[in-house]
Amino acid sequence: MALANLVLPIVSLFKAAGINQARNALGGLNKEMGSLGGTIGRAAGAFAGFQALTSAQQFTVQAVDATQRFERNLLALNQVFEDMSPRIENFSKQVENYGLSQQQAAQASVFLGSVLKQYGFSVSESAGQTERLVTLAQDLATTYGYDVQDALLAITALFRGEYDPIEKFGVAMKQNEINAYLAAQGLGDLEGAELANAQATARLTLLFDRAGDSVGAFARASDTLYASQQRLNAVMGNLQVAAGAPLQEPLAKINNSLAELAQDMGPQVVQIFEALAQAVDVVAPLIEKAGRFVLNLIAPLQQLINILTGTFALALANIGMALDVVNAALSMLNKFLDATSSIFALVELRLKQFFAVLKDSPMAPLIDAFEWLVNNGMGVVKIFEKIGDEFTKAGDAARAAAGDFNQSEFGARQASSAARRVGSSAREAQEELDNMAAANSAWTDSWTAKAQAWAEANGTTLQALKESAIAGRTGAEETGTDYVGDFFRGMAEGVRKEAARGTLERLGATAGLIDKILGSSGWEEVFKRIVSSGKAGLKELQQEFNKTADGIDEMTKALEDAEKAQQALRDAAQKMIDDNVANLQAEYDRLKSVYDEMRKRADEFIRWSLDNVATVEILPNFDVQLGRFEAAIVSTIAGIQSELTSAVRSGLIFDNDYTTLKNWVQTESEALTKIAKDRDALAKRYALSESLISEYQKAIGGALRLTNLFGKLKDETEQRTVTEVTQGVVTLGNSLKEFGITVTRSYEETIQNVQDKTAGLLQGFRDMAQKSRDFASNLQKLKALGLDPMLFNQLIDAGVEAGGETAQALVDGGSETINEMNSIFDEINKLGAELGLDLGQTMYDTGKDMTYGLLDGIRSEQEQLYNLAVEMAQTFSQTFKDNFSVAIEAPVAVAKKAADDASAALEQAKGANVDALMQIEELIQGANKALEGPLSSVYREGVAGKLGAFEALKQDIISGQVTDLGGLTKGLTSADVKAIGTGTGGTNITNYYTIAPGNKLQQRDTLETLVSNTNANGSLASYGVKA
Amino acid sequence: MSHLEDEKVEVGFDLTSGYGPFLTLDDPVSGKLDDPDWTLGGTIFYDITEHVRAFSISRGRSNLFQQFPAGGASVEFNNHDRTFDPLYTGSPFYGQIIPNREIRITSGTAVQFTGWIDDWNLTYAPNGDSIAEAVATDATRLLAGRNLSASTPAAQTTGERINAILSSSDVDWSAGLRSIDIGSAQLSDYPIDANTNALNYLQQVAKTEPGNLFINKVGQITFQDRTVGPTSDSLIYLGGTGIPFSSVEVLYGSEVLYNQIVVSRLGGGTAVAVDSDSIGAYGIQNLTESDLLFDSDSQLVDLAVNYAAQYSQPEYRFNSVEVRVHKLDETDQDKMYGLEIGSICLITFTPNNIGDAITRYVEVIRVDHTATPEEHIIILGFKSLDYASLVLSDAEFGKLDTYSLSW
Repeated sequence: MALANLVLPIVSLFKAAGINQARNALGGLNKEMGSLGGTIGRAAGAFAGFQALTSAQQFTVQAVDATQRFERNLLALNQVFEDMSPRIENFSKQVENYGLSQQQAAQASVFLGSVLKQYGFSVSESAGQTERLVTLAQDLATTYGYDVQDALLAITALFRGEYDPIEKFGVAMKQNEINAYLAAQGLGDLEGAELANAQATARLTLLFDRAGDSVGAFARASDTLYASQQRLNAVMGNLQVAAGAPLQEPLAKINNSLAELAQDMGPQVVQIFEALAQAVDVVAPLIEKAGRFVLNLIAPLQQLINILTGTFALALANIGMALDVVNAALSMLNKFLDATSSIFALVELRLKQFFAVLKDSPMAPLIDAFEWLVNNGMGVVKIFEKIGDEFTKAGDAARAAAGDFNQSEFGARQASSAARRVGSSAREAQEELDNMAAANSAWTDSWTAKAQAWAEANGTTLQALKESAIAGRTGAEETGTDYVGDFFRGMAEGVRKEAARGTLERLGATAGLIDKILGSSGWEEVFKRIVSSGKAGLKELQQEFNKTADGIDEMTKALEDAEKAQQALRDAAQKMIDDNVANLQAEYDRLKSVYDEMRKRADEFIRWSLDNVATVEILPNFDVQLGRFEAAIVSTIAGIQSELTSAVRSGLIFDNDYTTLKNWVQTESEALTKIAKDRDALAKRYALSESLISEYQKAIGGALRLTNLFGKLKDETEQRTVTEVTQGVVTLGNSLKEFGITVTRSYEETIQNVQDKTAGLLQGFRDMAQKSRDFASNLQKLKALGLDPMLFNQLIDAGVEAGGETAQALVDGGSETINEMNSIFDEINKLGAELGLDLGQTMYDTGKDMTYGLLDGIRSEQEQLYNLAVEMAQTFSQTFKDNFSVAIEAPVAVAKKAADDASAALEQAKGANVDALMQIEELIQGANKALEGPLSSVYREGVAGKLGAFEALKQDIISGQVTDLGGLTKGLTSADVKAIGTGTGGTNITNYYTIAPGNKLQQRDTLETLVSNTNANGSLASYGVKA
Repeated sequence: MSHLEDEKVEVGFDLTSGYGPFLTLDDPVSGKLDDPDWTLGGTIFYDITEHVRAFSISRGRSNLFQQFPAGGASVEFNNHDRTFDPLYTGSPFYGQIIPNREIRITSGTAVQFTGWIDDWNLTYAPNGDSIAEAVATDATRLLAGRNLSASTPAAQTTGERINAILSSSDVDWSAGLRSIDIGSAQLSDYPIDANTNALNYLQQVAKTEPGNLFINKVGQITFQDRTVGPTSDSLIYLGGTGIPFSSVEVLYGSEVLYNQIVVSRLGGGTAVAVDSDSIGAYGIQNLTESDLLFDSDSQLVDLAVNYAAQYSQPEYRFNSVEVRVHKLDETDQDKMYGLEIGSICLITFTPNNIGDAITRYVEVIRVDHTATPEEHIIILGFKSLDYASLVLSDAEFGKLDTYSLSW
């Protein structure tokens, strides 16, 4: 105890010093006494603080709440300010002097930043303006006597176009001013988001302009009570956050653990909680009682020291008596503190035992959290109170839940038992405290007598001294006297015995030997001798004891217990193996069943699908089936895709196979469809060719028709404009005067041309021949020039030219004319044939002859396409069948392999070695035990590593993979364990030492180790394990 | 005494009671049935001369080669009592002071103008001297408002063509309102385009003749062909011993000097007649008449030669005279009131009574009246008749070697 450590040196000083030395030391004694008084005072203050635990708790709760809020603010801050969030975080820390706590500043920044972003400000702009606005809000609040929050609300209202709230902060603004401002900036025509941003910017500008008088108001008011109070609040707020931050993680763990417990454990945990609550109920008043006792003890002691300090001049004459009094008092205090230390040690021991029991329970995370709190200075009392509260809450929640009481019943009973032992120890401790109180009464009497003698020797009375002392006591003295008496009455020997038991246990004494020692009269002397002889002495004593009847009995009993434990261990090991075999058997049965079912369904599905779906038929006759071929393929493909979808949904094929098959089908269908389209196009070309050739023949034939040629030989007329001019002289009779006269007249005249129709007919043929030549020549030229085939066709449609007719003309022309005409006709016919050939070549580039050759060519091509389509369809069907079968067989094969693997694992598990399992279990228990004890961090790490290897090897043994530990035993180094363990060939233990692919945990551990090493020598910004 | 006592101004009002000569039952005069003087209603000419303060009439053309424009009249009424105020319900003609009222002006016993009122102009003077003016035009405006459909007329004389046009459904002109000569020129069957204005086409016919086409004093459309010559009986003597005129206007110069005549016809040729001497003396003075409707070029030649003969040399021509009718006795007044466009006058005039008197036959082409209570003046415009046609058996115009045989 810290207080004891302070007092004892003083006592030693007095004990060691002779009278003369004491006299010589008087000069420094005063100082020592003063120091002692201060120390005592601080101790009393500390215990008084204990009384104020509730308010301290309240502070803690508030700190936690504040920290939670701050954490939420930081999350929001990161979200709002993105990459600028570090700047704002830093800003929130700096504004403490501006009367805003970190949490308040962060909250306000998030508030303002969010609003600014909504009005189109960039993140960077929002960050800068937020800093200005937060400080402006404080300035406005300072100037106009409002809360900062009011100012922030007024500012955000301003952004929405609400101008009234900001008026109370001395800023008058109207919307028409904003409009005018924007118009002056040339922004009057903006709309939508741009307008909103421009307005917000304008409001911001005018706000800072018009609030100029307030800017810096808080700084100017720094010496005022308001500013100092604001700063104090900010500091306290930040302290709360700082104090609450470390508690967040453990409390979160507790909460999570309790939640999980309530969900997972159900009612059985209630028993644990109830028992523990009872223990806490007992322990808590005990500690409170101890605290009060200490307080009552210290108070008169402090008064005594004060008396002594104040009366040293008188004490010089009887210094020895005074020192005796002080010595007695300090000795008593020292004794009490030792006793109290033992009590707390006992309670803590029991608690650790309790926790140890719970460590194997689902409450382990909760216990971890508690341990963290203990190790980080929460103090036993707070822990108890916290445990009580939380457990009570959890117990209530657990009671409300329904569940299986039998499950984990054993653990619950163990926990309850441990809790009861805590309560029992506490009660024992209370008895000891009572004994100490009784002893204190005697000590008080003795002290009183000595004090009275000292007083008389110094010319005063004890009563005066008492009055002086009482004047400084608290009201607790009277009740404290009772506690002291009660305490000493039941405390001393039991506490010493218990402390001695612990010591003997640590030295290695068996329980029988310990009982023997403690049960002996004068056990304390025996104990002191044993302790002074150290471990070696105790070992010898233990050996001697083992030879005694009690020792033999104990050893016999221990042996029996060990045998029982060994058997229990064997039974447990065998059960593990049997359970594992049973589980593997069940898994194998399940997998086998799955495989059989998949095999059956796959066979059925393949048969049905291939019979009904994956067959593509090619239509043989293109000219009457146009479009149906393509439609048939599309329908078939759709059916295939539907079945593929069904197959993947039912698990008959894998997703990858489904995708591959679907893509393949799609590709093949496109190829087949293209062939179909080619066939259709070819058919159209065939029909077009037929029509075109027919039209051409018709055109050429029509042009040669004599009737048409003759029709052109009709009589012709010619329209001519005739202008007549008449000139002369006119003389009027009455005057004989002459006038020149000119008359002009223009008119249209039609001239009839009579033709030689025979000659005209011949000429018509000649003309037609020439035109046909020209026509063919021009078409060839046009072809060479790349004339569009359709235009070419139009030219053909136009024909050469129609002729006239008249049989009479032929008759009139005689045989010579007819012969010439026949000759010309033949020539034109030949030209037509050449033209047809050119036309076919131009149109399709496959022409054979003028007509039939062309069509035969097209038909030939169509047949080739048909054959190609048939071949492709057959290939498609066969390939699909093959691929489909393969795709379906793949998951079936996987299922079969899983079943086979399960079978092999089952057979292997059946050969698991019980002895090996027991051996590894012993190693595991040994490691666990070692970890429970005090270990250096390095040693603890090594043991923990080996424990992990043992656990891994245990799994290999249970699975039957490893039947021999290969010499693995306790006491080996980590390197040896690794070498031997991996030498067994076990998969688990090998993986334990190997960073297996996909083992994220191992990867992260390794990476963190690397990071730790790197950071020790440099700096590593960030790292991570790819998910 | 006002000279308007010889004048009468009548306006056609469609009144139903009161002022008009309506049938009145049980009245011994106006109550008789079948008496056309007393009607039940309809448009009736009302003599409103008592309200007339003055009138003027302008009819005929000023230029020989100009077509006859619409004749017009203006009558100024005393409107002190708001008789001619269209808004005054107390007016006996209330509701009828509106446009398109028929008006007729008579001097002596001869009607001088018949037309339709286009406007009522009201003038109110501060002293109460309110005036109403009725502005009227003759029936020319009716012809001007009608268009012809496309058609191919028959080859016919000018008079026949005019009658055919007037009788067409597009014009539908009353036969009682026509005074059409037969015409001397033969017209071709050249087609009439759709929407050809009726007045323009009729004036084209008249120009081909060439003759006078106008609305006469009583409102008839009148066509006078070129062959109608003057007669001694109707001859009016002006000046000398005849009706005195107060002033005379004479033209002598290039106003009507044309020595190159170019005439052409639709669907035909072009005839050009030139007087080389005149051209040599005065330079080329061109007169072009186009789009004539002759059916032969020979008619073109005749027209061109006659125009050349009449206008290729400068002549002394009486253009107009002013006669102060109110100074004349009743006989001369009646002669003056009886003049019409196309009337032949013989003017005798000795300028300043020096030398020989100048006499010229002229044809009236313009008659203007100005009548006020104080005076009535008629101004006559003329076309020279130096080459008037020979009229057989006429004491004056039947003299051989004096008058020409018309072409």
